[in-house]
Amino acid sequence: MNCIIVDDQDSARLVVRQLCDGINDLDIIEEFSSAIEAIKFLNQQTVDVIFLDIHMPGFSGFDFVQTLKTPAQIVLITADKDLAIEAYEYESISDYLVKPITQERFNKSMNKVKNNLHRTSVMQKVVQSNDHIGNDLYINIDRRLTKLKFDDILFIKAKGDYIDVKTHKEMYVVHSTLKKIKDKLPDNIFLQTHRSYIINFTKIIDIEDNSVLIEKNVIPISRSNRPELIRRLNLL
Amino acid sequence: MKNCVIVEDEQTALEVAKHLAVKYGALNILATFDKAEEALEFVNRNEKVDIVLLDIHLPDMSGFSFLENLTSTPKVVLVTADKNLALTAYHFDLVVDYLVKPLQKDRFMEAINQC
Amino acid sequence: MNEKPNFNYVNQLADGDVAFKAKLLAVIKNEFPLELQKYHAAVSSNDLFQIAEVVHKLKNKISMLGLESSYLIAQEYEENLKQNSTSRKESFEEVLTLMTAFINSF
Repeated sequence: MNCIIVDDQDSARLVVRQLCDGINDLDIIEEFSSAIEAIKFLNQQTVDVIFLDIHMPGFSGFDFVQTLKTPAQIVLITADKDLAIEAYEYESISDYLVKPITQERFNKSMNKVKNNLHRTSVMQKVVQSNDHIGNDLYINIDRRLTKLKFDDILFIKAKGDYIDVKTHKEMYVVHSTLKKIKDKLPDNIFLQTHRSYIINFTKIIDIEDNSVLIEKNVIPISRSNRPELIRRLNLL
Repeated sequence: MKNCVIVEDEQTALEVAKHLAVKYGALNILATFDKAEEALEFVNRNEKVDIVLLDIHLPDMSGFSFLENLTSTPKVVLVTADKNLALTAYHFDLVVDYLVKPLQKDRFMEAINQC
Repeated sequence: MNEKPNFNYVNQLADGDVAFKAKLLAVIKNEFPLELQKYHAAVSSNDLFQIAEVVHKLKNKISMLGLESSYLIAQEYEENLKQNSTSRKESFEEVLTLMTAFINSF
């Protein structure tokens, strides 16, 4: 596991370094006394963990967390007890440690980080090649990637900022739009029948004027999409 | 579908949690409890519980005591009217998120998606 | 106080689900008087800690009925009670009166 330390105080960084020494296989790659330097670094390289002091001069800690586009886990290190509740709003923040930090509390934190890491690194490997790998769709439920076979997906429904991906047994609520997911779906199986619906048309059981039946679900067909549906069905 | 258990002694808050769990969380509610003791027994005995929606202020013990006595490992989403306990919540590995009542749809979904 | 109880939160949560809204309001209507009773009992017993507990529970309903400033009053009152003071009691009880009237009306 590798990490960086971001804290404007020399003494604070020293303490974190000391705490890290107490952990096996945790390497400190770099230390930064400013957020800007850290960002520059993170644009070039990725790390597993970022130890971050939320109170650094001239910079809004949580804004920084929000703009960081890194898969790294963030462990906040701060003297302030009251920001924990806000910290929960940020998924990338794995833990919140209040100074002075004991080795015991730190060890506990690192265990949590290790467990999280194991889970996500397995997923990352799988997705490196392509989003559209053979017969599978990878949907991102935040940092968790779930693999779905195209053949298992019945239909997808748009719901505001989210989409419902329905399989035979489950319904996944995913933060995405229909447009985005459409790019990941093969044209020969999936078809948009309506502003809010994409269906797997190999799963159609029955068809009416305005709708299709997929298992027990009635999916609307809009007039503009109907010709394409008919055309595809004729090709089946 | 993921299974959940809700531990909440305020009826109104329970109604809201049930509604969100089913309609927006796509969860199957296995059981609901208004006391920590019974909930603990159930969750410890039952491996099928994926998620626990847990209130911190319960009549017989605090949500944190519940967590300390939990032997199984569901994901836990804390639901509370208390803004001051987030720091303590971070001590517990199973706690995935900390939601302040009254529950909001979007924030709830974010929490469930992390489970 | 200018705030009036409203259904903003409830409507947003129900999002058109009429059955759910009705159920939620029924539960509120049922539960609130019980909590109100508990509050008055705690005040009579002069057990500040217990009063704080009930105020904590009532806070959720205050918030659910859209009363944001009243929520802050409740928060202050709860904290004061824990520090052995009953400051903000009157303002809090005004909120309860407001809520009682509103809840009785649905």
